Amino acid sequence: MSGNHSPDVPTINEDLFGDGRWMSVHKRFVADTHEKEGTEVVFTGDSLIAYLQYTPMWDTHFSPMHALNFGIGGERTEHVLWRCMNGEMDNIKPKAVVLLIGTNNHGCTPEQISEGIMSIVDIIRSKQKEAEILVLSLLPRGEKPNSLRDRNKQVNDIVKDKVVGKYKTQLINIDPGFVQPNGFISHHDMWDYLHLSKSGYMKSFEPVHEILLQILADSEIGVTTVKV
Amino acid sequence: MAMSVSQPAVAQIINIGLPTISSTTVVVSPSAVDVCFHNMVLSQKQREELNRAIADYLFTNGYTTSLEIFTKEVDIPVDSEKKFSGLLEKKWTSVIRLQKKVMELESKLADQEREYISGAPTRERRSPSDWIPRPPEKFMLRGHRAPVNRVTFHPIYTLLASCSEDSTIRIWDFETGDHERTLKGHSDSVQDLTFDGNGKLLASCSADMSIKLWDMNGYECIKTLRGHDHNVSSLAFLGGGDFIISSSRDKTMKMWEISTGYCVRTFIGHREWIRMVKPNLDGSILASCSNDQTIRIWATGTRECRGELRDHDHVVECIAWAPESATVPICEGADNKKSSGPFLASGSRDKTIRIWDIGTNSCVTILVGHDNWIRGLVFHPGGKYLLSSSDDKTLRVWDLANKRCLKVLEAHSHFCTSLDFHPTQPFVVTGSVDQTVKVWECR
Repeated sequence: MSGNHSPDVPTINEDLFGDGRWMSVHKRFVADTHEKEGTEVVFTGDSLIAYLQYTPMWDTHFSPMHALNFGIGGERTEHVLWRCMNGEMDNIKPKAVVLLIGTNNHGCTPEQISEGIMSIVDIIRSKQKEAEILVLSLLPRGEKPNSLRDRNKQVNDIVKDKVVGKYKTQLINIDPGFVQPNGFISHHDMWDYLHLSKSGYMKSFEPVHEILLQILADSEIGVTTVKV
Repeated sequence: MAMSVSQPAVAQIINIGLPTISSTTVVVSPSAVDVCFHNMVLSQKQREELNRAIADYLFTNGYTTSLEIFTKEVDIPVDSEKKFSGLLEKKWTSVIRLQKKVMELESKLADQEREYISGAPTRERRSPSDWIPRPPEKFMLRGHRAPVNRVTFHPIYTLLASCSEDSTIRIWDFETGDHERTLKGHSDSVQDLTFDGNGKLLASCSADMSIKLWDMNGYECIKTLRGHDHNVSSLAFLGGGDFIISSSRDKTMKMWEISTGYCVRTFIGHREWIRMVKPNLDGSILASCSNDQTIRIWATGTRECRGELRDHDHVVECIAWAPESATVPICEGADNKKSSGPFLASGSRDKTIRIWDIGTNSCVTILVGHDNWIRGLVFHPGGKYLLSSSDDKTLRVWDLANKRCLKVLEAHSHFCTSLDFHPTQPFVVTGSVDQTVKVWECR
C-alpha cells in the first residue's frame, strides 16, 4: 500500500483483512446524508476527526450545531477524496465543512500531500457551492523532533498559500503550541504523540468552535434574538 | 493538683488514656496528641499555635503553676502580640457555633426540599391547571438502542408508548417504571405513533414508508398500510377512529380507511417534506407543517387548502392545536382580546414558537427563548401553558397570558425530540436523542 498511490487520485481504502469495515462505515455516512437533511456542519478526515466525536467537547460544543462526523481512522487524502466524490457531500447543505487530513500520507512529499488536500477542497466546493470550507492545519507529531513534523509544517505552508483568494476557504491553525521549548510534545496533549487527549482537543479545536459559531450566526438572517 | 475535670478544654486535648503519672503533672507526648485527635495530624505551625493558645488560656484563668510547667515543656516564647488572647475559647466555641449554623442550614434545606418536591407552600390552593412538570424526573426509562423520536400517553391506562430510530416501539407503565412490551415489525426508524380514542389501537409510521396498526390487547400488528413514496413522518386518527391521516417526506398527506387499508384521499400542496399533520378537535380541519417553512390549513372533507402561514424562517418541525381552555389565556396574551380562534401553535428550526389565530390566519404571539430547534409542542390540558421540547436539551413551560417562559427544565443530555402531556393525569413524558424516555410529575 502507501507510497505508490497518488494523493490526489480518489482511491477506495482496500479491505485488506476481510471484514469490509471501511465500506460499511462509508455506506452509513452516505445514509446519514439522506436522513439528516438539517445538517449544518460536516467534519471529515482521519482519526483525529473521528475521535473528536467521543470527547465531551463534541457533546457540548459541536453536536448542538447539528454536526456530522465523517472521520475514519487511518485515512489518507486519496481515501477522503473518494468518499467525498461518492456520496458523502451529497443531499445535505451544510453551512461549513471542516477537513483535517494528510498526516497519514506516508511516502508522499509535502507538495503531493498539499495537492491531495486541495483536490478534496475542489470536490467539496463543486458539491457545496456556498459552504465555508475550513481546512485545519496538520498537527506536529512524535514525542521528539522528527522529519514528519517538518513535513507537516511544509504542507501547512503550501496549503496556506493555495487557499488565498479561494472563495470561502481558509486554513485554520489548530496548533496552540503543542511543541514545548525543549522540542518535546507532552503525552498530556497527545497520549500517543499523535492522537489528542480530551484536554488536547479542547485547546486545539476551540478556534474551530469559535469560527463555526460565527459562521452559523452570520447565516441566521432575520431571526429574533430577543431572549425572554 | 494541676489538672481537674472541670477544665474540659485542656483535659479534652490532653486526655490520652495514659495513666496520670503524678497528681501535679500530666505528661504529654506528641504521638499521644495525635492519637487523641483520632489520627488528625497537625502541621508544625498548627501545633505551635495550639500550644500558644493553651498557654494563653492557662494564663488568663490563673493556672500559673500549670502554665509554668507547660511553657517549660513545650518551650513557648513569650507572647507579646496578644494574638492568642482568647483564641482557645474562640476556637472551642467555634465548634458549637458551626454546629448551630449547620443545623440551621440543614433545616432550611429540608424546608426547601419539601417546597421543591410538593410545590410551593400554597400548593393546596393551587389548582391542577397550574401544575407543571418539575425536576427531578420520576423515571428514566432505558431500553431503546437509538434516538427516541416520539412519545405518547395511552388515553386510559397508566401506559405510554415510545418509538425510535432503532425501528422498535416500546410500551412502558409510567406508574411503576416497568417496560411492558417491545413491538417489532418496522424495518426502519419509527417516526411517530398515536393511540386511538379508546386506546385499543396504536398506529405507527416509519422511514420504511409504511403505517402499521397494532392491537393493544395482544400487541400484534394487525394491518400495514402502504402507499407513501418516502419516509412517513407523522400520523393521527380521524373520524372516530375509522380513518388515519398521515404526512410524508414525499410532500403529500394521505387519508386511509382503516377497515379496508386503502388510501382514500391525498392532499397535495406542500413543496417539501411534510413534518407533521394534526387534525383539530372535531377533525374538520387539518394543519400540516413542512420543510418549505410553511404551515397549511386544509378542509379535511374537500382537500381544499384554506390557508398558508408563512412567517417562520426555517423548517417548521411541529404543530399543536390549542384546547378550548387555552382560548382565554391566548387572547389575553395577544392583541385581539375577543377572538374565538381556533388557535394553533407551531415550533420551528428558527428557534421560535408561534401562536396562530386560524380564524384570521394570522400570527398573534411569538415565544422566543429556546437556543436551538424546537422539536415538540403540547398544550397543558388546563389551557394556561404551552410546553415545548428542543434541541437545546430543555423542556420549557410558557405562560400564554403573559407570553413568557415560566420554567426551563434541563430535561436530557442530548436533543429533546418529543414530549406529551397526559390528558387527565399530572404527568409529562419526554423522549430524546440520548435514547431515554423520561416521565415527569406535575405539581
